[in-house]
Amino acid sequence: MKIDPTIKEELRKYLIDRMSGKKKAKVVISAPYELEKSDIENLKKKISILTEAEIEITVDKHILAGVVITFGSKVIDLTINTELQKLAHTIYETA
Amino acid sequence: MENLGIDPKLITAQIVSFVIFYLVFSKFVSHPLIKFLKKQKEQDKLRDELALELEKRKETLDKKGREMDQKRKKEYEKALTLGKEQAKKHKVELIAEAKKESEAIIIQAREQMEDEKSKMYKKIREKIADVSTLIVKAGLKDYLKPEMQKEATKHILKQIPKVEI
Repeated sequence: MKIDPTIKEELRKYLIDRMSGKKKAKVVISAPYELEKSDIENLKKKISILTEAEIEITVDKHILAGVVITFGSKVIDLTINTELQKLAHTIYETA
Repeated sequence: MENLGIDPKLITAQIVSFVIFYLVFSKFVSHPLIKFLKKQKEQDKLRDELALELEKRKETLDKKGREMDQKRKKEYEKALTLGKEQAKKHKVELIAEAKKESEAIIIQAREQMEDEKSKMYKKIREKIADVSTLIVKAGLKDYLKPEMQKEATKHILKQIPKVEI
């Protein structure tokens, strides 16, 4: 399989930057409202990667309460929506 | 003799003529006729014998026919009895088989019903769970004001344990 030379070059540059520490990892935090600085600081204290990453805050009105932290392919879901889904799943299994 | 009106010559001639007639008659008519009659008699006898023989044969054949009829009748009755017995046996077997099959069908139907029932229960449970979560979600959406959302989020953030990634 042939990889496009431009994509190949972009990937090479990105990996070099990551290895050398020039490029920070990007983390997206979604919440039902614009998070305050204190909230972000609180999160940074709890999740170590946030201290070294480039943080992007987004507002998602579908979230009832809580936050969703996405970095790369990893997702940390700390919302009530997920808790409700878990509850539904528990009802499926046990009811 | 002449006085009596008898002519000796005529008598002689008549006697000679009679003798000749007798000889000719016995030689050419009487003998073949007797022979013919004898032959006819023999043929009649032979015919009678043949008729008798035929009668005997006919009787024998009739007897044989009757025996054959009786034998055939016996065989027919035997075959009929055997057929009836086999049919009865087959009927019993068929009934047993049908009973067995019907029992299997009933068991299968029961199992199917149980399966359908459990599937239905599962579906109902799922529906209940979906509806419940939907109701809770909708309720929370209406109930949670921005301040409450903030408060809840802050509470969740406080509860997060320290994670090293």
